[in-house]
Amino acid sequence: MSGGEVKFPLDGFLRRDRFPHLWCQGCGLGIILGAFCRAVQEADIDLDHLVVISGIGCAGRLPGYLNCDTFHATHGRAIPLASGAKIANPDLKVVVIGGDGDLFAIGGNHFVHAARRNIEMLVICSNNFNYGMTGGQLGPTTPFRALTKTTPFGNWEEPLNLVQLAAAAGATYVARWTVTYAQRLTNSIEKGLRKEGFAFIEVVSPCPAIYGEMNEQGSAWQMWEELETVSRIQHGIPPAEASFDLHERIICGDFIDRKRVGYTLRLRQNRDIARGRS
Amino acid sequence: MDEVQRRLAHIHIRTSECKGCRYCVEICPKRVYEMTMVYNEQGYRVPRPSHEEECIICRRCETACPDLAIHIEHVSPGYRRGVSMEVLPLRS
Repeated sequence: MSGGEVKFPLDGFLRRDRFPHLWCQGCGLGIILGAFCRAVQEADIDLDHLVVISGIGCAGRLPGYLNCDTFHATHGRAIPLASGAKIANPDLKVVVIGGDGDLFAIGGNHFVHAARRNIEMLVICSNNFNYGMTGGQLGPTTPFRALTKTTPFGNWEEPLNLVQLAAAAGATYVARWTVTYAQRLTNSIEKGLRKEGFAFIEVVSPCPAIYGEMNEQGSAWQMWEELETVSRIQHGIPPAEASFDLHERIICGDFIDRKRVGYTLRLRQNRDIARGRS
Repeated sequence: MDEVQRRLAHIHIRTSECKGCRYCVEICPKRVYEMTMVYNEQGYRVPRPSHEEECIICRRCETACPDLAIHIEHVSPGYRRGVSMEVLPLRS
């Protein structure tokens, strides 16, 4: 049944004239896009007050499909732009969507310091274990012994545990999901959107066309099935114990949910103090 | 008996946006979809909801579709998000 004339529920959130999107067959980014739109719908956020910023990479193309104010920043610099937008206009709801390479390799230090300052934004990281758009090179999250274009004999580096880094840097909300938990991911993004503080959600997303092909993981559905088999939900365990092994066990859930005073609030208080003294 | 055979959903697929990843075919607990030999403009084989009357509106395919090409329209009133309560009385 073709539904050309039927209006889909997410059409209001998307630039449908740009579809079909450019991502490969079975890529998890489309699922993240759908989950994000549903979360915005559930959280009842005005699209005029929503800003979505991204860097470079496959995930960097995601805001281009959203029907709100978006910005495609330079490589790794999505979080500085988002910080600027939030500080200039604290009424905005600022979201950063990026890949693991963009947010943690090229823009790694920006992430750490935005979390330390507790700037009120939501950061969604799509973790696909390699640099997908440039052809599948080694990234900071590539699993041990995995094959990539730049490590044809296997990766000998230990990958970064993103949730542990976010929690240690001071994020107020830290969660990890795989795209196989699409409904839970939607609820988690909604929670992150409502959070007044730095929220971080890592989404483990299959990359069947590049990473899956290099590591002989088969079709998109076989990768999905493997993700579904290895992932378990354990809410509230210390992020350091949330293991991330693509072939053994991926622990998902809400790990950190705490309260800290936000950066723009502190900034306003400090401004009042400075004005009172002058 | 009419009550039992009542269809809960109309499934709309935008076949022109489908990339044929098979997620909907494999994920459906009621095996509603099947792959066809039809190719769309992009050259991908597209699925078809051949057993639409079996659909219980769990919306797994809708949330899992990476191309946002599936829309489940519920045709019976009183449907709520999450578990469809409409199926429960039919079993008794």
